[in-house]
Amino acid sequence: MRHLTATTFVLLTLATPPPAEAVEFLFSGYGTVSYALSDRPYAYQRSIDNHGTLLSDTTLGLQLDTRFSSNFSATLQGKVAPANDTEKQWDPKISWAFLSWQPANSWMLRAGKMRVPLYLNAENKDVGVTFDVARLPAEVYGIAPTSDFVGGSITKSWSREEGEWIVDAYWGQGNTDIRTYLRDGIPGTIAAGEHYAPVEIEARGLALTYHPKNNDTYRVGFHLATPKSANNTSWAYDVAEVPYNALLAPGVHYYTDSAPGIKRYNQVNMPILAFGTSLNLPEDYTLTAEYFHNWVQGEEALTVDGGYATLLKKIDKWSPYVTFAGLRSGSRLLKRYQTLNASSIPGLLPGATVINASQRALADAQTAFDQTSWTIGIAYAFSPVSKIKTEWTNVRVGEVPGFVDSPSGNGVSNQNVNLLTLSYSFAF
Amino acid sequence: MKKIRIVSLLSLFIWIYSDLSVAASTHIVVIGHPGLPKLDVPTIQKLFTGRAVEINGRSVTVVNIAPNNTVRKVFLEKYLEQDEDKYLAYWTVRRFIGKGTPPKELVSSTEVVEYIQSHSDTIGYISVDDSKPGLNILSEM
Repeated sequence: MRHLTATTFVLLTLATPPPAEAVEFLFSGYGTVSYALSDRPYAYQRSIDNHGTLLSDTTLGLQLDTRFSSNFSATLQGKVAPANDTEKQWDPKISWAFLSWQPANSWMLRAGKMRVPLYLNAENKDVGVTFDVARLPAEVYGIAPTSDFVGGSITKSWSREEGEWIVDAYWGQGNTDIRTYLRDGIPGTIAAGEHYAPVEIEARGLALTYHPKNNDTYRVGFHLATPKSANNTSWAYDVAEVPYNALLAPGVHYYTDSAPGIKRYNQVNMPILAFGTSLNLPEDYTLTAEYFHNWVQGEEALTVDGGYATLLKKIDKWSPYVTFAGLRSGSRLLKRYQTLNASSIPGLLPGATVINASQRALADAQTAFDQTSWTIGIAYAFSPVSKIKTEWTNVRVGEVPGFVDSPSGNGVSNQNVNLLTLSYSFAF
Repeated sequence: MKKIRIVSLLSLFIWIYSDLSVAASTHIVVIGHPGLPKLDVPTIQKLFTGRAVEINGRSVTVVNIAPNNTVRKVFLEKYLEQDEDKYLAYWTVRRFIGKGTPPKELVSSTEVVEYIQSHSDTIGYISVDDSKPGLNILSEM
């Protein structure tokens, strides 16, 4: 409803006829056609397997900017991209709808639907021509399914002799869907496969960016996301070991997340610290690196750390690059996954099928990550708004499946997944 | 056949050389609507990259000459220290991070002069050869 209201507000503003001479309409668009293929039969990042897919990164967007004056404008952007709340479907939606007002050179105020400036390429991550890598590293950019919000943002900049400092502050609310993939499901209770839980997220944060005269970028950000269940369900961040039946099978235990004493939440606070830099090095090399650390307030042991470093060289229109990336949850969560994944009771006991399936489902429900990856790739720019790219990535899946949809049975761990991506991006 | 090829190469060389020499020798004047003050290069850089929208508290609108024009090419080189590709790439990013759109584009110096004279608080640039008496020159390079 909030989204609708904000979008309607901007649409009404666009439709309001200002003085004919003052207003200027500017249409633009972007798109990426991306084909990704892996060497595994199971899906990586929802859709990439050995059958190949166009669904991983293919996107088409159109943008209308209406300039009412040099310091007041409205932006409306719609895009068609793979849906966040279902598999193998396209989802047309309004991604941006906001009003911008620049009351002075160093101030910009925006209100409406826009994107959280979480990472260096967060705001332009759909626009493939604005970066040279074929896929932004999943270890950083694959964590948040969406980072659009409805609210307000303030940007303040300071120009100094040595460069420019910029502070972005924002506050708003967004909706997303948290995806869980259950390899087996629980008979009679919950089906195997993907499940989406609607979540409302209140997002606010501050990002400080510094651009020295040589166009390097340094950014540090502190963000606080408050996800809240949108369908009155609650979730737990802990499990407890409970006895099966002391008389029937003494000493047999299993795990549950609904035992007395386990805290349940329908909303939590998740602080995120993010650092990013892009450095212009000699010989036309560029080094881009980002790192983030987030945790759940009240469950501080549940942490996630992710980051990457990309070294790229410009050779005329060619841009070869190499990336190393990593993503790892805190050791307590990794250990819990392994404990749950290995937990089972003897198959002859009554209810064993359901209990054992519930152990694997509980393991799959832990949002845990442990992976590293190497990527080599190359981009060729026909022009600044037309690029073809390809890359090969070797993902080392560690103790937990993370982005992998484990097939029925044992969870995927300690395996390599090789990905090949070919994409073409454009803008106009 | 050989003679034709030599003539073609010579023509190409003369064309490239004349284009380069025109670019090198073209002087640019940044002009503004009457009443706007003189500007330094950093301010002009900010205005044409969307990082400034006012001068001394007055909102201003800048206009560009459309791409593939020698005057624009020289202006970008001299004032913004970048080429067409970098400028286009800059505005592509800026547009799609929601921080503005590139300046309005006019076809020729003549159009720029007409626009600046008929719209208050506007700034553009032309070749010094297209300059005429009465224009408010804010900068020259």
